Amino acid sequence: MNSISVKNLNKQFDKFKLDDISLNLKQGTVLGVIGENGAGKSTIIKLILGLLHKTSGEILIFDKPIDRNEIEIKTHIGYVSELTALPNEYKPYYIDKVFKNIYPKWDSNKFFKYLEQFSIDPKKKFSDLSRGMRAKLSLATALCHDAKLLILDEPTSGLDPVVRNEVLDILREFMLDEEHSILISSHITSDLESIADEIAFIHDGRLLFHQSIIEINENYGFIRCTREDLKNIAQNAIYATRDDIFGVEALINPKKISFNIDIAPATLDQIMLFLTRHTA
Amino acid sequence: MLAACRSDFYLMKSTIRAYLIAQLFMVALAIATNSQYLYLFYPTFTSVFLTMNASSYNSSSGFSSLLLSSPISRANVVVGRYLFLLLFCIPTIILSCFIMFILGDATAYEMIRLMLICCTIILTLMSIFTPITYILKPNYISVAFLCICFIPSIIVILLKPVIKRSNFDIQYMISTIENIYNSLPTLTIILFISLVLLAISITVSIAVFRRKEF
Amino acid sequence: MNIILSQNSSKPIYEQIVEQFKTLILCGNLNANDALPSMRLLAKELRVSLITTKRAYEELERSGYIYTIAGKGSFVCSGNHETIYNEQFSQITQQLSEVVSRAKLNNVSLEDLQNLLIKLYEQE
Repeated sequence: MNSISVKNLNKQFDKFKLDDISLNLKQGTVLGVIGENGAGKSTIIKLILGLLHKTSGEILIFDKPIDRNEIEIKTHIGYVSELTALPNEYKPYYIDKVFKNIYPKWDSNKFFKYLEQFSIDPKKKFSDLSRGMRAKLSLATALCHDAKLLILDEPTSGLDPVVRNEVLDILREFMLDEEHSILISSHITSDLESIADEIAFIHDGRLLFHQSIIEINENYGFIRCTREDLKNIAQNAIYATRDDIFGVEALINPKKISFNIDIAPATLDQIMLFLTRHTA
Repeated sequence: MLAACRSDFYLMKSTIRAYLIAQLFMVALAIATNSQYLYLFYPTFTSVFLTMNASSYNSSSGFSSLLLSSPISRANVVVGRYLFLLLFCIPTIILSCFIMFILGDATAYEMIRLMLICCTIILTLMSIFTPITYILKPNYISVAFLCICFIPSIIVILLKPVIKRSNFDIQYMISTIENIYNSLPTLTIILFISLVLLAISITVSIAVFRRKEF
Repeated sequence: MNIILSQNSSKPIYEQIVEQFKTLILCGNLNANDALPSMRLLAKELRVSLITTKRAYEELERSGYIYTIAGKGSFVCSGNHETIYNEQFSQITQQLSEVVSRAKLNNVSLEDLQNLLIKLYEQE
């Protein structure tokens, strides 16, 4: 079953268009969405959650259209966004008081246990919490109501490596249950490489590719060589190149290379850079 | 509905504390200067300020998107806001009138009259100002509020020559108003009209909020 | 049970996992019908994606090292000794052929090579 299924999604803004996006998130997997700032990652997530209204297309969550079953579906969704900042005077225990009556399965004990685990004082004002604590608080809010689907919009941006690791560990713990799925959008590709099963790459409002990381490993390789060596490689194996004064770097398809050359597996960063900035 | 109301309450908790302290101050001032209307002036207009504050808290942080990603309908959020404003202002008015009655500054009859009038004013102000906080962008809300506050005076200034020309009998107008002021049934009818206005305002707000994008 | 992965190796991670498990099974650290950790637990502990451990287990099953019971998990196959022997023999053949071609290239005689083999075998 697909936790999220998006078909031909279009959204027209004044100066930006989200063009015919189709992707899906299988239950029990983690989908990472990568792309430059302003490529449309947050827009897709907001459209899925109903915070923005789509121009055309179909969005199904747990195989049900969100237009009709919105309330029922949202009881199973946890949302974390760098935008879900709280007002300065807000205190963490207010969250418990407010959401206790909104989510049917809200577990107060679990919420306070998480706060204790993260050393967040429930009575401290939001403005007094550090950035890492705010991120962990948002995550705790999303995890305390028995959610089956986590939708995370840049959950680790601006966090130090220690906190980022903590957050990822919590997400991995969440994934131990095979009914749970995560949609995570991030431009910290190293995080995605260690947790995502599939990657969707959004650029300029369009979906460039959506593949599993094993396929990406097989289909994208990185080489560094001289310009002459590059001429010996078949054109259809090269995705993009970058020249500098000492040689040339290229993103290639290792499966189409016949001769022996030192090919390193391309990182998501390199793939993103080459496919958006440089051309074959 | 109640959940959204509770959410607004916690959102504004610190502001409410400040307002209640200000109200106590006004009560003390009223007792000291023996001026009845100070009791009631403040809570009546607090509803407007609360709306403005609530909407600014909501929009300046991303709290709306957190709230809307949870299983609560947009209509519920709007009705919750109205409920919150009503639940804050109306009991404050009733309490203030009661204090006036106990302290002997007003008879029972006057107390009921004042309650009806103030509730009508509160409901009307809420009906006008709350949809504005949903329709306009946060920056423009305070400007709009100021403009609306000045509209009555502008109308009076514009109408002054018209009134002068048409031999309008001000005495007659004043006596009509006094009659209305003195008759409880008329006041009740006017309150009822303001309730209808509130219902229309809620419908408008829900319709606007449904279309809103975050 | 120790699984060590290298981020810098050019081998895909799932292949590394496959090799590590094969070594554990062949060396006797994992015996017949021992349970392997669940795919999800392994993914969490090794800090890799689920799809990687899933692929690794699929490979191991394909190569006949493990079998999976739906709902229960994956277990080490028994009676593997012949397969293991054959696989190891083919790997040794491959390595020896490299040694032989290098020897030929450098004019090392067959007799010298045989003596070397006997010396090394008896050394252990």
